[in-house]
Amino acid sequence: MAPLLRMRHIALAGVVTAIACAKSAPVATPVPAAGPVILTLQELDQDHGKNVLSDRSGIADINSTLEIRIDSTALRQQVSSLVGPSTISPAVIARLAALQAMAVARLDLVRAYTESVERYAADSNAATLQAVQDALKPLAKNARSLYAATKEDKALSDRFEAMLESFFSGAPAATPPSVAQQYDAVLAFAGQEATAARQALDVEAQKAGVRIQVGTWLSTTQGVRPVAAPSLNSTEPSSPFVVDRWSVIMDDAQRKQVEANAQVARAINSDGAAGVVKLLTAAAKASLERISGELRECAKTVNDAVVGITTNAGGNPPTQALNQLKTQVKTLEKVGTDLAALADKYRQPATTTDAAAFLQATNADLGTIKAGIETVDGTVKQIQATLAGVRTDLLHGGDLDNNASGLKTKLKGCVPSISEAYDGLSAQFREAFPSARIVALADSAWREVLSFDVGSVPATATVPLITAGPRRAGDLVLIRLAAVRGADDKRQVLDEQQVTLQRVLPHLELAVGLVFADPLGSSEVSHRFQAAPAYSVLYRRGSRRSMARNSFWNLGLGLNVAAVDFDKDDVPELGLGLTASTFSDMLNAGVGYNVFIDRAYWFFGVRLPVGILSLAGSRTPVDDSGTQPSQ
Amino acid sequence: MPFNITVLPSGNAAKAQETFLHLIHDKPFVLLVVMGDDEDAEQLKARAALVAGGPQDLRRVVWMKNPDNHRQQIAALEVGPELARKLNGPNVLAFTTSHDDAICDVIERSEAPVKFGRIIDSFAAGEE
Repeated sequence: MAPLLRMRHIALAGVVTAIACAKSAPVATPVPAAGPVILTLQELDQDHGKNVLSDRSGIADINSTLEIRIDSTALRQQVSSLVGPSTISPAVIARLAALQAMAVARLDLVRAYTESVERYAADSNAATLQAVQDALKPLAKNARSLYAATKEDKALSDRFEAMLESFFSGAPAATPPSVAQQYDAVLAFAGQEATAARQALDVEAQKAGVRIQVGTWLSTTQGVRPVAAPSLNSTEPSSPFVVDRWSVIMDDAQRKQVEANAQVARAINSDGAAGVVKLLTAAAKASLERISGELRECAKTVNDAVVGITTNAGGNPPTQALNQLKTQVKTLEKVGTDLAALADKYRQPATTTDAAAFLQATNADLGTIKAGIETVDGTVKQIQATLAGVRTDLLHGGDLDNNASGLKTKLKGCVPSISEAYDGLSAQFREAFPSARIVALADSAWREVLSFDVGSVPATATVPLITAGPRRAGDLVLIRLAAVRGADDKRQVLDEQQVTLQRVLPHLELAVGLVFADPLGSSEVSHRFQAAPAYSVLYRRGSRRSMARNSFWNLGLGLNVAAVDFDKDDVPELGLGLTASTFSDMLNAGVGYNVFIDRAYWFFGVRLPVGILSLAGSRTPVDDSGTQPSQ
Repeated sequence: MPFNITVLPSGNAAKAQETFLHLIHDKPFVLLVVMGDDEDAEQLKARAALVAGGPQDLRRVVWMKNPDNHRQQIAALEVGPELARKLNGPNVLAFTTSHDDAICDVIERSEAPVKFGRIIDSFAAGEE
């Protein structure tokens, strides 16, 4: 197979794998407790647009401010189920919002009816009659709703009839109260009942020790962290971090990718697919050896601690803790050994010359590595827990000094260090595992969340995302409202909303990748296509409705800059082109012009979904460290 | 007799039918039609007159002392199956017609003495 034909197979395999790895839309979050919706969200974006997030799993722009509205009536309705036996009838609780709405609408509805009746009296015709009938409809509907409630609750019925008896008593038959006055009295009664019910519920909730918390968190690939919402928690706002909409400057990682792509392009142009496989193999081996080495170092540190504790204990060793530590060391060593074996695989020449098969196998290996890192993460936590149970008098000497602080510090560094190597191995892989949907939060996650009486929960709160710290498209914001009854009771989630952050507003993205340029006729290029490192500046806008569009098939249009070498003098020439990019930049195509040798060309480009060598291109980065791309 | 009550003459069937027909089809009123000439009917009529409101309001009370005079007229009115069952039963005390001249509520004798809330609900059924 000709080398460049093989490269087309690589590109195809890349796109296929990319489709398989594309982010899936988060599963819609059900309302945690059955009942009325308490939380509603509105997004205020940088362009002063306002968008209500009607779905419980919505999409918002990554730089927006989220306005949280807390429906105090719905909250009370939900809380009533926690309070236990209540003095307020279920009929009233169930209709609390409707009763309040009647009171709110009362004046307007009665006025509209009164005015319509006056117009009809002054000029009786079909139009003015229709206006009267239209004005009556909402009044009648509300009155009937109230009456339906009274049929379910005798006490309420008694109060209602007592009010009406008082209202009509003494009214002379010649001048009875008007219909407007009657409806006014009925709706006012509804409002009084709602107010009384709210107050009674608040008192009952307070007596039962019910407290309300509204937590706000950001879930990224790095984990879950609280987000400052000044009226809801005491979390310190992060330094303002704005994901720049119009930045076209490469960051360090992208510059490295361009360099890597240049190597890959040279390998393709000289040896075709075989060259690429050779290059990838060498890079994978280096990364895996680094991970394996780090892991073995960690295991050795823990093993030294076991020896230290055994020595310190003399004839009375903490057998159980030591056995646990030994088992945990074995786990670390096993993962290290497995990864070393994987590195050995890459030390050998590639076992296959089939590029597509190579890519698929590599991708499977990345999955193995990720599972290994997760095992290490869990094991390190177990080790720390085991150390916490060891007698302090046994913790002295070397890393065991000061309650094993040195050892704990080293362990803390273990996982990030390995993860860092892993990220270098596969920046792309991270995208295949988007921020996880938050299912459970530890109690400690609520530590900074303020606690309110039911009656004092703020009606609105804002979450300015720019103070939420570093974030990237695909991260999730979780807003969860929970109630706790008493100090020892389990927290009960009453409502929650998840918002996926995306770059919704129009913006520019910088995509780094490889292009395959066809010089359209004779040149020094021996094959039809020449590989070249390139980047594109793409104009895009996201969607508030379609997760798939944001994460996969969002079309970008823009400029492409490629370092082609049509005259084969090993000095790159500047190629400028127009390009369209889609499938998460896995595929792009366009037309270009070689400025130096005055030749037009067309090209297609790929972003290979293997991160070895950081080969894969990336879109305008949002540095997880919190550093903005330099301007 | 209050201005918002119309008594259909029980001894003059033709006159009573003509009046009822006029109120039903020619006037834009929601009618609460009290049937019978007993204490329950008397009490309901008096209370309904208070709920019927002022002269400008489009509610009226009709006292049908002799329902037998109007069986055919009532049967000709539009009514749903559930209300029709009540209307044709022995316990009907009153019914309400809507702006569209359809029967929209039936008050049975078992509900007597009929309270203000129930009367308001009945008129509201015709206005909804």
